[in-house]
Amino acid sequence: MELEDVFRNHQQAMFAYFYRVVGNRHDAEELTQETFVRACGAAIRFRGDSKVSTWLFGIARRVLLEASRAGLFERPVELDPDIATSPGSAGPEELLDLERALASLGVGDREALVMVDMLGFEPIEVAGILDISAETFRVRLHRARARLREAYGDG
Amino acid sequence: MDNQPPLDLRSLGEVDSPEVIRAALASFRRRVVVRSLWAMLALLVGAAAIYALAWSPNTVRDQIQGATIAAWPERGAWDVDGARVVLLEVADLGEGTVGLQFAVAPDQRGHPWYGDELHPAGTLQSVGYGLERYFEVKAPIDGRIEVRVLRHGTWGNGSADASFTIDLPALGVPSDIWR
Repeated sequence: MELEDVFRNHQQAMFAYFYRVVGNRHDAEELTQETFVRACGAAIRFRGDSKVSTWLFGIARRVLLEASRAGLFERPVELDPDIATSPGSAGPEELLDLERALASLGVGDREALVMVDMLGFEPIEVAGILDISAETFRVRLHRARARLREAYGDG
Repeated sequence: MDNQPPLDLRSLGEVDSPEVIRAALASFRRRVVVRSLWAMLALLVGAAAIYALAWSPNTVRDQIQGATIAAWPERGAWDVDGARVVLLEVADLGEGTVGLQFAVAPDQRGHPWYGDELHPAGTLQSVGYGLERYFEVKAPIDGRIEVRVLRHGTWGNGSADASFTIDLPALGVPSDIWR
């Protein structure tokens, strides 16, 4: 499969990851693009011993880390009403509340929830991406879920 | 840990994503080109540095050939016991020193020269290549340099000394070279 096709298959998830973690469209777009640029250079070293998505999100995570060091998260979260979310099981009002609740959490919580509960990664995969133990990540995820429930309940 | 199911966030992942892949591929190609250019530039600079280092004037010959202020007198020739010594170049080597380049024509009687026969006064260093001799000497106050010629055992019996004097002003060598 061509690299472009691989990227195309992951573009939406990658953008969603950045958008939900960073909180604004412009930065999310730039970070998504930067991740794919880096992946072009790193593709030659990809040995296929992990899933492509795990490999790509590992790069995304490093891009995010560098951006955060450059002050990315000092900017306020701006939910963009133009980025429509498909109404799935939840209605538009519920969805908006969920978005607000998620946006009110800290970056670490958002990242854990986005990767597991939104994008469907296994906790052990995310632990590998974050370079922490699976048990540590499970605790982090559990706490993030509790805080999200609390924020959603308050909303 | 409680057993409450997590809130369903999957719908939040269904966002309209912008097209970034073509821009990313173009950006990657641009970076490759820019990095290649930088790498080539670094190689060129490195090669130039090595070249410059390899060609830095290490010997008195290099110094004379690399001197920016020099003169090539046309009448500087002396016959010394059958051999002909020609002054080819006078160069300002800075710090009160002058470079002299001689050519020594083979002795008309076929006797060889071995390279240590010429001894200009005030010699600081010298080197010889084939028929050429290069000297760094202290700058003469009056523009005159006496050159002794030692013919120690190259022919005949024992040494035979001779000498001649280089009169730089008389040869038309500008004083800013030898003062």
